[in-house]
Amino acid sequence: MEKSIEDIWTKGFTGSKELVTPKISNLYNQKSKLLLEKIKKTYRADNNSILPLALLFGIGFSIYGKYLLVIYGVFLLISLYFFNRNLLKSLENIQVTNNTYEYLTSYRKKVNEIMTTTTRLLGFLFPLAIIPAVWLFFRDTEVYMTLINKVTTLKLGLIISGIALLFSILSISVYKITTKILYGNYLNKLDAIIDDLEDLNN
Amino acid sequence: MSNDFYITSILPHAGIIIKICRAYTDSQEDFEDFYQEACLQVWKSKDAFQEKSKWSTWVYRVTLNVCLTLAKKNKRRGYNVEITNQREDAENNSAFEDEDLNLLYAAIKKLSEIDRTIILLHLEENPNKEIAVIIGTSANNIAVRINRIKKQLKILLDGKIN
Repeated sequence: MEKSIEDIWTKGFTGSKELVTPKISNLYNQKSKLLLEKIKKTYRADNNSILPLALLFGIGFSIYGKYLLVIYGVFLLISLYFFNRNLLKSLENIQVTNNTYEYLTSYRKKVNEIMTTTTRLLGFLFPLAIIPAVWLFFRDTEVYMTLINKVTTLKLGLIISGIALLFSILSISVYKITTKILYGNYLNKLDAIIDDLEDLNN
Repeated sequence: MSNDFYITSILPHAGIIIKICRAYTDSQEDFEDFYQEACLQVWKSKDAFQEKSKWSTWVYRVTLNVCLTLAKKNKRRGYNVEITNQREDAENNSAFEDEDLNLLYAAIKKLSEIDRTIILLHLEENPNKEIAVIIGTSANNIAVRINRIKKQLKILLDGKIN
């Protein structure tokens, strides 16, 4: 006699072996691995974009004959590239432990450290580094000569400080906005997973 | 997700979660991922449960939604068909001890996603009215559709089951 599908279903699931629940372990492993990979990939792409920027900078100012500025600017950009690459290495060096929560929190902590370091770099070092670049750009121009001859040292100092402050504010703002656009979504997801795991541990 | 919640609110319904997840996955690895995600989503959505339906119905719904979403995601990622088919052949045949059940699952997986959902709910002895609420149609439509699905399954299973 032909079996109905209902019979097959009921009989098939009579044995308890068929309904053994999988262990809820490493719940976030796959999810978090994917997410961390995305963060690393974005960071790598973000950093790699400095190289064509350096090339454009070099070509652009070479056309104007600002060779010293080209050397200085390209040197700065390449240094920034290697600096970021080292930061990325520090992310990759985080020890993958069996404990997903510990791994993710270490990762998040490292990301925070990188963001703080980059903010400080852009806020303090970048304006200091940009002043010589501005000088290299304007040093042969009339504007510069007028400024040197007519403006007092105090005023010149104030102008330089103003430029440095402006660059500081501008670069930090641009960094914050681009970070939010590029990494905001990923970091929110990472925080959500950490929150879930904390909940789970409690 | 607390251990207590898992034991008291999910484990009693683990059977249906397993049955649904099996119908939407082709490998043990995917099955375990789907199962874990379903449990997680049931836990996460517990506050949205308004007790208008039974808790078990809520678990069905969430599990179905998770499976449909993950199955779509996997499809979009463009899993290699050949590999999937090989895995399907190898793992579908051994997912259950009962050979007829393996064949029935293989046939169910050939149905459209919505038909899969309907037949799973029907096989779990949910009344047509309840299935209709979950799917968002009328009980009459569900009755007609179930008959059609059964015919389709019989054709798919023809000759393979006594």
